[in-house]
Amino acid sequence: MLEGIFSGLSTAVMPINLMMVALGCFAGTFIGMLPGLGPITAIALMIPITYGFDPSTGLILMAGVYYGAIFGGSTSSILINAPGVAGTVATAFDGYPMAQKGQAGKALAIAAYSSFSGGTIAAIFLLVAAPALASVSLSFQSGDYFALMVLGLTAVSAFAGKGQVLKAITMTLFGIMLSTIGTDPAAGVARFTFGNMDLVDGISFLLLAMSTFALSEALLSILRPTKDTRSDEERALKNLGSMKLSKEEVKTMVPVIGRSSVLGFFTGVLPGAGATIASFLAYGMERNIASAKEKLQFGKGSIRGLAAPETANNAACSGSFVPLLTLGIPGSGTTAVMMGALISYGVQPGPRLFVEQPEVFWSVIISMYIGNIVLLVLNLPLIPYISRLLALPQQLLVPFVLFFSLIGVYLVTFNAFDIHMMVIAAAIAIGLRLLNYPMAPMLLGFILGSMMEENLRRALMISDGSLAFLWERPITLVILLISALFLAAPLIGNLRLWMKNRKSVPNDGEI
Amino acid sequence: MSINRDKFGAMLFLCLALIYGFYVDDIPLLFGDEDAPFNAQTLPNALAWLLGVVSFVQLVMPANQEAGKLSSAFKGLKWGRVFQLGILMVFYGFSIRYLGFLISTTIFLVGGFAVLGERRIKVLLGASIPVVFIFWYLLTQLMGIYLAPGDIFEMLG
Repeated sequence: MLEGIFSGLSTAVMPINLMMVALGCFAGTFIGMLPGLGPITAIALMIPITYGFDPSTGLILMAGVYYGAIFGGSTSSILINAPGVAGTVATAFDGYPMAQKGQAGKALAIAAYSSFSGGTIAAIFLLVAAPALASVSLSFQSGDYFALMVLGLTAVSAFAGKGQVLKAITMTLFGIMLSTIGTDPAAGVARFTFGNMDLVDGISFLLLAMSTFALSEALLSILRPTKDTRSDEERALKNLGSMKLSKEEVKTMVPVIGRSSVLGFFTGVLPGAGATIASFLAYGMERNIASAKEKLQFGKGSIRGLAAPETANNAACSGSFVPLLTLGIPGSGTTAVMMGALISYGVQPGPRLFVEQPEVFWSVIISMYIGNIVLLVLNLPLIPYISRLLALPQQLLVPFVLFFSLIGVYLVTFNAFDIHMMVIAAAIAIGLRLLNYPMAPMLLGFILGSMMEENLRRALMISDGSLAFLWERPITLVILLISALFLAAPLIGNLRLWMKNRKSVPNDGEI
Repeated sequence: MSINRDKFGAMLFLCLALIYGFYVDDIPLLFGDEDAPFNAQTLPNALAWLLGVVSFVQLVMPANQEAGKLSSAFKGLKWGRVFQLGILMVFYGFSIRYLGFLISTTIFLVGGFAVLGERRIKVLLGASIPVVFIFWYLLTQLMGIYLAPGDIFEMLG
């Protein structure tokens, strides 16, 4: 293991990789600060740029972008109460009131130190947990993998939020359906191609990610114009105030960071839960354990209320890499995009990665730590300068995002059909977004669909068509039971709510 | 009577499940695969059933009042500009092969800026041409990606 760590360290500290971490954090922060664009878009936009790089460098760049985007989202949350990323919504609860009191600089510093500490502690956990889990998962069989994928997909749906569970399940199934388009890898027969040669290879993951996130988010910002917050952000940055923290404030932060890092990391490891749930859980936990006097400060600029979600969301980002790197199963939309990128580099994430390409495995983990340092040392002081880039007017920004998305996909295949396909996919994505359907489960379903089919096929062939493989091995059974529990809990909750409402509210004729 | 947004979505997906399920039978099977425990139709069949059941459940469950009505989801949207950008993207897809990267991308960017309200010629050209040339230089000279000149230039000799 030590050999692997040193090999990863030597890869991560190569000048090109250090430059990529810095560039990634910088670009991620900029995109994260833009209203409407999140980390998935930021990472998807980076994929075409990374094609010429080796897998470690590409992944290092994307890990930097991920952290940067989360930090950029925190900046907008604190300065103007407009979180660019769902994972930083809880940051605004106390960050924005602090900024209103003229302590925006201090709030940004608390966010940066908390993110750094959360990310660092989680990177250490990852250092220990990932190889251990990777070794265990080497004994997994096809049936176990199938069960794990079912768990990943059901967990994403279960954590989708109130009223969204069925929609998330629908989108997951839709994603798996899209993955069946093209040639069946086992039988070699065409499925749902309708005689179109351009569909024989199936839909590319990059095309789907770009059109459902980058393209549709950019077009939605035109379709549903929201208040342009960039001038407010610039104004807020002019009155940052001091970024220095007193000894008392640091003392208050330290235990919060410790608790929230652990909570954030383990929440991130769970498939489906991620930075958003981790940040809310950490905020709630801090408020619950605070004294009555401190509780009153929550929502009015409490240091604990700001440090907790910021620590937890960064720790969760690192945690979400555990299932990706060790099992080859992404637990969130963001890690699904990263997995798509890895596969396109010719690297198959999973337990074999740890054995066969330890330099990729370890360099990613170590670059996360470096990314946290870059965020603290470079991004925090550079925030006022990064924000100047926000002055780019929307009428110029949107066509650039469209261009980078289209050309990024076109450069892979040099097939104009892909551009037209992207327009269609973006139009469908916009329609579904307007109907309030989440996009991340679809992406996850799409990427796991073909792997799930392959593992199910293998498991059924081995068991001679019997479904007994689902309960023969205790580990398969336990994973499937957990999946059933994940799925049943929100559905039972919905059903109970429906029964309750049925008794009290008469139907108003709406279908 | 107005339709609930969630119900409309569920209806769309129910239709999708039916259409998808209908075309599952068109998937050719290799000789002997019909009786195999898993063939090319197995997963698509299961997916069609699952999506059908999930969307049907959503359709018959009582309306989620928080979702609002379908009309409210589509109210006040600026379709015009998005539609024009869509046409521009389709045109970009057609033109990139014939006009080549440099010309088609410049047209796309200038068109995009113009659709979104930019009218100053200096900005239209100043923000597009240098970016296109820098990007072209990065791709062809630094990354070694070959970008074929447009078919039109080959036709012109």
